[in-house]
Amino acid sequence: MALLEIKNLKVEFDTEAGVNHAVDGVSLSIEAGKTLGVVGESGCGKSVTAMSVLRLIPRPPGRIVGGEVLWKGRNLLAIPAKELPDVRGKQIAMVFQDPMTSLNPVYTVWRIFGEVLEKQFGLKGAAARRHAIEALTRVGMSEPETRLDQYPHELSGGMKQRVLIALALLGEPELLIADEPTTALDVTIQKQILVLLKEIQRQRDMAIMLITHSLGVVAETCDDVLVMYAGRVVEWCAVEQLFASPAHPYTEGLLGSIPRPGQTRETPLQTIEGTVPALFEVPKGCRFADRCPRSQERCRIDDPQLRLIAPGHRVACHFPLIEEDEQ
Amino acid sequence: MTLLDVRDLSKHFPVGGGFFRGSKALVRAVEQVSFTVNEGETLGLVGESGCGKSTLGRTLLRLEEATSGTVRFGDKDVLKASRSELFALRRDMQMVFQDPYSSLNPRLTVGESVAEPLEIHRIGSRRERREMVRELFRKVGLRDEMLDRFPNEFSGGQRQRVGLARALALRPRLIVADEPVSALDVSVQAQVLNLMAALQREFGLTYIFISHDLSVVDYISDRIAVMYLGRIVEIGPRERVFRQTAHPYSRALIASSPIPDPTRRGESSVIRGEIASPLNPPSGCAFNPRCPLATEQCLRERPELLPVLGDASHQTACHHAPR
Ligand SMILES: Nc1ncnc2c1ncn2[C@@H]1O[C@H](COP(=O)(O)OP(=O)(O)OP(=O)(O)O)[C@@H](O)[C@H]1O
Ligand code: SF4
Ligand SMILES: [Mg+2]
Repeated sequence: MALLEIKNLKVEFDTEAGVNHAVDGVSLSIEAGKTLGVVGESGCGKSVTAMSVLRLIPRPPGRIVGGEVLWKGRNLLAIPAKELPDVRGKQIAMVFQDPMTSLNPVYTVWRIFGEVLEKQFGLKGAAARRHAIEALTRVGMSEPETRLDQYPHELSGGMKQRVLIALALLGEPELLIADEPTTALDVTIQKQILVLLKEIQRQRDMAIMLITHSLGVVAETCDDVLVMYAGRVVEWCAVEQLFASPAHPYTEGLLGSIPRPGQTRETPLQTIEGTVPALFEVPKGCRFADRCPRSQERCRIDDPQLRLIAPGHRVACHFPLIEEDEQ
Repeated sequence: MTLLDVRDLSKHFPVGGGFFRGSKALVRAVEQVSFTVNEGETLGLVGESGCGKSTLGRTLLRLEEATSGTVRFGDKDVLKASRSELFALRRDMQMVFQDPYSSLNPRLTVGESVAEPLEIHRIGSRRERREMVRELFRKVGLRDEMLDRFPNEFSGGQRQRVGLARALALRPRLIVADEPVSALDVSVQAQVLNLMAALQREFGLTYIFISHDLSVVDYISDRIAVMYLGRIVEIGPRERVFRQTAHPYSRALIASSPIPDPTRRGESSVIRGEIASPLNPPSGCAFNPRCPLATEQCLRERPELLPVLGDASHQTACHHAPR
């Protein structure tokens, strides 16, 4: 059984322009100890999907209108709210997109740790402080005791991200959901953080859901990858499959958009013309049809469903780039 | 032909210490930077946040007053130019910014934004200007009917196109582009990079392209300068800097950059530590606390930017580089 399985998740937001169907039928699963990458352009629903797992969608304006989030077989969308704290932060922890804003600026690092340790684990005083220092040491923080008495603004972006990871790991979660954990960081620090996450994963057999817009980060750190487009999963497979034989035209476009080592500006990059559609009305047919170089009449009428086309390789497209396996 | 010649350029900012005048600390954002840029080429400028890339770009165009040094553009001395000379120089030197959201005036239609530099420089009649703006819109791949809309109706990529049209309005020779594609999704980033390459070919533009993304800089540049804590630590032709890398920091940047190819997993590696505060840079070589090659000499003496293997086109500031 998968550790986490999301089935046909649907999330909407009320906006001035109407109802935004931000996530519209997303399915995925993660095995214990594995890393699932989630990629896709800004606004495609990556964060909303992640936040839905722990029922963190702000309501209003948002609401989860369908689907299941199965955590070890139990539907987290259906359990009583008072049982959520047992899961949140303990079994499943999250690190958010922006390390600059997710730490309270008027608290010292020690106070931030102290609150979590007391509330969630009943630890206080010297014992709590020892625990916090250990937690910071484990994430490679230099001078952890000094850092505890500093304020977030006194820390670099990389150090803040280490604090957030240390906080997330306090409950020894089995799944860490990391939403763009390195996007705001420089590449040398990004590398440090990614290596750290992988190391912790190995030590604890922790699963990671890594949301990123960087295909390079996916290639280096993930086992499986989910490509999202306009609120949908368009491709889901092993990382090697995605790079060696992308099946969805959108995935192929994304891969062609990144400059290859040694490629110069004499060779134009592949582009995906046009822009992502607004999701105020559920479109008929394929959401990518307007931009798709392979689209045919059927694509405008018939909404392609995610289906298995090769072992472990799923795609939502009528005319994928690789042939369906016979069998 | 050399279009831009920068010598010993420094830009220091006084910070903090508001009460105790005279005891103010100095941030040496740009320190003793020298390089040249040839007409029609792209110089990529890379480095981590806070290394001084943007300040350097802004100081070159005198959007920031330099502390010392010289900047020659053609036969003109940019830093000594009078107000009216500077006004004329601005026609030739333009800037494109990272954030397409905040770099356009929200109260002007995008057409008005693009026309603004033409107005300021009193070029053409109103009608002629409108025609020029139309032409510019076509060049950057925007449709005519978008002229009278406001920036908030545009996507990030479209706004960056508007920013390029505005920068091109005065037919400049040099464009300093500060992280022009960093805020964009990869597919849109590719559109803007292709456009910049095409515009460069068409107008013979010279670019200084500032970015923290090595794959982008590798793609767009002829030459590359790597900055660390306000100084250039390596400069040279693109393939030399990327494939015969001379400075340990450049190597660290390359090694840390994720490679979009899972079969090459494990080729990248970690470098320890973080960039030091520019308020209090390490003595000797500023990279020494993070450098795997650092020796006693590196703690004491600051390395100068000198040719690698006797070739002046490729220079680095490292005591242990092959000379
Ligand atoms: N609180 C909210 N109120 C209204 N709309 C929202 C809210 N949060 C998200 N949305 C909308 O839901 C859609 C999906 O957003 P989401 O944040 O999941 O995208 P994302 O894939 O994480 O993008 P990014 O790469 O920019 O982080 C977008 O159209 C967004 O505007
Ligand atoms: S279903 Fe049709 S339009 Fe959609 S991605 Fe596939 S070929 Fe393109
Ligand atoms: Mg997000």
